Amino acid sequence: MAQVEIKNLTKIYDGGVCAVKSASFEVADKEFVVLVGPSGCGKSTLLRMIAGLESISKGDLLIDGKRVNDLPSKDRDIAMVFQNYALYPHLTVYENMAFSLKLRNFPSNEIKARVEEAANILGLSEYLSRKPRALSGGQRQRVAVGRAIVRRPKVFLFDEPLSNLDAKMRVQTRVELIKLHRQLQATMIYVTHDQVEAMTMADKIVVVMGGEIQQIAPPLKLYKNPANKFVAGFIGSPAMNFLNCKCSKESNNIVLKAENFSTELSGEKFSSLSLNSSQEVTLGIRPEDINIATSENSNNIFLANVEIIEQMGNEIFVQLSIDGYEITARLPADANLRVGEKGQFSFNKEKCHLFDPISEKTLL
Amino acid sequence: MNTRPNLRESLISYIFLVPFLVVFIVFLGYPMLYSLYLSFRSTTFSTDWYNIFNSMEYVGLANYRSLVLDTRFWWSLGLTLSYAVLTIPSSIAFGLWLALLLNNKLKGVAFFRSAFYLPNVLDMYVVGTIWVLILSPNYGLLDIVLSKIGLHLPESGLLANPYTALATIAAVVVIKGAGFGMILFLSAIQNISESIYEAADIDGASWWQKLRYITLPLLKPVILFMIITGTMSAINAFTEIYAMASSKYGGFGGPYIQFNGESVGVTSLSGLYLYQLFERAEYGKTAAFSYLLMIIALIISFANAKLLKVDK
Amino acid sequence: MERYSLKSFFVYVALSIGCLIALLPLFWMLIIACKQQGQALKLEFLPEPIAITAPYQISIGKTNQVTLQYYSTSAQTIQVRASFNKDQLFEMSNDRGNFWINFYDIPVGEYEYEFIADGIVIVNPETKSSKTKLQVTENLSSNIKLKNASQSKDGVFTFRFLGSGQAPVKALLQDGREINLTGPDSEGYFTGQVTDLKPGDFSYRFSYARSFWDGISEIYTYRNFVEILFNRDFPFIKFFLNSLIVASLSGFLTVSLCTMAGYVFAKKNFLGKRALWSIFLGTMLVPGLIFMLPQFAIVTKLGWINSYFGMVVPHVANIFGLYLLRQYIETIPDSLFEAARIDGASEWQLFTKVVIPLSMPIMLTLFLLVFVGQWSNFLWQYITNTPDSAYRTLPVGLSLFKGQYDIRWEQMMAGACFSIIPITVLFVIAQRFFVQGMTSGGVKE
Repeated sequence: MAQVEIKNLTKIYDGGVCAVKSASFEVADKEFVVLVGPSGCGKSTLLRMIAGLESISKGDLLIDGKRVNDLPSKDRDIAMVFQNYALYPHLTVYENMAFSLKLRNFPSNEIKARVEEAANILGLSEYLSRKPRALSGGQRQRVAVGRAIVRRPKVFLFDEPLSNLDAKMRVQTRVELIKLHRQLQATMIYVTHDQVEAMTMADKIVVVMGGEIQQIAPPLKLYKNPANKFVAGFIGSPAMNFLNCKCSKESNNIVLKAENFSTELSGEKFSSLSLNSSQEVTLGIRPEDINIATSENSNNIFLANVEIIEQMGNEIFVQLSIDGYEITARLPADANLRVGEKGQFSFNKEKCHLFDPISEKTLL
Repeated sequence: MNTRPNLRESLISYIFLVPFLVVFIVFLGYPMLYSLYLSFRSTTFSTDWYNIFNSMEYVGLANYRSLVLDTRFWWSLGLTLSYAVLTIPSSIAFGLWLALLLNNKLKGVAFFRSAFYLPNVLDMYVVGTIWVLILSPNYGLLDIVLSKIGLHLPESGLLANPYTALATIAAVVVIKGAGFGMILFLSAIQNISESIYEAADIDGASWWQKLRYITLPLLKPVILFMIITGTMSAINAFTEIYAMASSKYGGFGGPYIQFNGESVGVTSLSGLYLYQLFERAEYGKTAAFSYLLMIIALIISFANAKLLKVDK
Repeated sequence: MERYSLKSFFVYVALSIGCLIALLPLFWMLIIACKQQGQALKLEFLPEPIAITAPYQISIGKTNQVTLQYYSTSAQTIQVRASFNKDQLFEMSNDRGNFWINFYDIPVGEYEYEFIADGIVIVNPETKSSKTKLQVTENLSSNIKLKNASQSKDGVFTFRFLGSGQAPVKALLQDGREINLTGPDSEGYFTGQVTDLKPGDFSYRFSYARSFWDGISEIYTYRNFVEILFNRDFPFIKFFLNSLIVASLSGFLTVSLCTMAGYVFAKKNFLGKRALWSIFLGTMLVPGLIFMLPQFAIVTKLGWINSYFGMVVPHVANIFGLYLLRQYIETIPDSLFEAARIDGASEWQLFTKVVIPLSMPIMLTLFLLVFVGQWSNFLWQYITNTPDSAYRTLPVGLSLFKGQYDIRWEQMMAGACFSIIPITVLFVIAQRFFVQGMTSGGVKE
């Protein structure tokens, strides 16, 4: 059983800088939780507090129900994979992985068994006698993971392990890590700034910004129901488009009027909102929810200028402008558009979001 | 840069190289050979004292033979060895200890770093002389400080006592030279990435285990360097001994003890012995001795490199 | 972890103690250099309010010691003609710089003496006479105002002590008695009497009160520095200048040669490059002492003994410097050279306009390292100079000074100051360079 619970964890540095503000979440046994957020948002600090590399200013950290705030790292039964791998340069791959076991006086046949087992899982068996400097980035990363595996810890901690790899390696390793999780059936807490990694790997994502947790949810829920504008804009690529609009209640529907853009949002979803006339809201539309206007979706048509077309092969990203607003749309590759021309577009109003412009919380 | 060097570039290179080469050949290259040449010669009765070097006579291996048979020769080598054993490990330990202390991110660390390095750049002769003053029996600072806690230096002082003279000089040299090792170790330690220590924390290493399994192995190149430099210093040791060794007989071989039937100076290291031969104008023997020393030094350097398994 | 705990405290303590020990010579040297003659080996730094003099010895009823002292900055010889020596001339010795002093054992009585400097009789302008009267009593006599001017006459021993104007002054006798002295009189002496001394040897001391500042001036003086600078046989100012010249010249030449050679090894490809480099590196493994003799032979043959050339040139081909420069210049991007070439630079201009400006830091570092190294290069400077050479450097001068029979520690420390203080100042100003030089030339894996 390896369950991690964080209650109001806070980190305040000397000088008053508050890196983590009262974070709380739970990691269930065998769960893969990803902490995601932009650089400097405090996610690494949070991970390091769990690891014991940073002291906890306030709050409680519980592993399997036991409070471990004051326990040193080595007694928490955790293993960590660092961003820069932190391999011992003077030891071979075998010795790197065996190091922690040696320190704990494991018998050498037990050490051998575990190291070889980990090496097998990670495909490192032929590199056991090499030193880190003779390995490629991807191999070094695997050694770092191997070092964690042999410990058979309660919790695995990953601190942006893929950032130092090239793009192709990253994709490959991502898949391997997912497989590893399935194979080892272990509790894993993973930190990254890449929302793609978060979305593809996590059972549950914790979005962090400015030291505060913005939302905790499984990937799909995060995508469909973001709690605030930040989460909405962070998850999904290309990012969601945001338009500042004003309401006007006409005919029991909500009509949003931006500069040169007006749309009527009708239906049960919208009528349950109690919006005032001339209240300001932010409208969020994902690029993939924008289509070229056809006769079927004539309700939310708007006119826009085609500024830039980016060819992706199977689709195109189109930069549209509506007199001052720039929005991005994801359209099929065969869309008949030309740069500089105006076109008629519509968006899927079932999938749009509304945010309060000041608190940035989701209204819908 | 791996194409065959062309003539023009070689020519230009050599023009730049000429001043350095000239001085090197005249004062370093040629002397090495000249030394060998001289080692087979000796001054005799018929030597013209105004033109010594040209009028020494060929004596074959006589110089080497008389050196090898001379007790003082072996004595000086033995002393050099004990001096090296006294200074090298302590310099390394002391320098390492200082570097570990200074590795904390405390304020004022930079001040201490400079303060410890300062004695290293000072003139050895002058510093040695001042230590003689401090160490003098009955009046020196050390004696007075010790007397306050009830101890006293031996009657004739540490430097005149045959059993402590060498150790005292070694201590002074180590204290003075600590800064050197400290700086080398400090920069090497600071080059070790912090995350390795964090990984060790998580792996469960105690402070001592971290030192032993991570820090020290990664400092091996520095340690090797210090051993080699230390050996060089021991073989070359002259100034510190000249400044500090005392002897009732006016020379500077240090206080005398009996060894193998002769009375030999207790601080008569190889460097000193070499100088004594030189002073007595026994140039042939001086050259022979130099050569033997060089061979010994080279052997030691290679042995050390092999022993610590680091490629130079 | 950010705890300013007990651990930090211990670290500071350990470092401070270590620092104190390592820099002890420096402090000690400064203190001794400022002390008065004879004070070197006494552990007295702050004046006691009541000071006790060293013991004075007298012999009641016998001859006594007379001190004659003469001060001259220019005289080469001083002679004395005294009636207690049957008017024969004898030389005074000058071993205190400008103070000529001699001690004589003379029977009690009245005498006359005169000084002769360089053959010319010295006449006192006030009395218009060259002869001075001297009264030798059963105590110390001198032609100068001595601190202890006690005398014995007709069985009565009168203590006369030149105090610093403050009471109390006591005479402490060998047998334990303490006599309070009264005064001061018009000349500043305190007096007291004792009437029951037996003939024979007898010692006594004085204890006197003194103000703090008087005490300071009794212990400390600046005179040592002055005397040592202008000492006839050991002019430390000259030694200092010599050291300065030798060190600077070495630094300058070494940097020039090493930069040129380093440039070539770093950026150019030429025949025999690898072989030459191996030879150079191999030389580094050889103890320096090996070269001493043959270099001496060559320097002798070239007639460079007792000259700046002899001290400077042999060490100019510094392999370590070459190594440093090569490492540094290697890091200059090739593209800079290529750009300069396209701009039309000649080979020499490439060197002066690209290499030199960019290598300034390392050149400065090397200069400092060589400077400091040569400043303390004792052995070589010692053997390439005869004891009376005009080119002696500081350490050599100091060793010769020490070799005298009577070691004047205070003056010697003053001399040592001239060696250590400049280097210390240089170090403090340029510490960054020293440290940098060490680490860049140090160990590379």
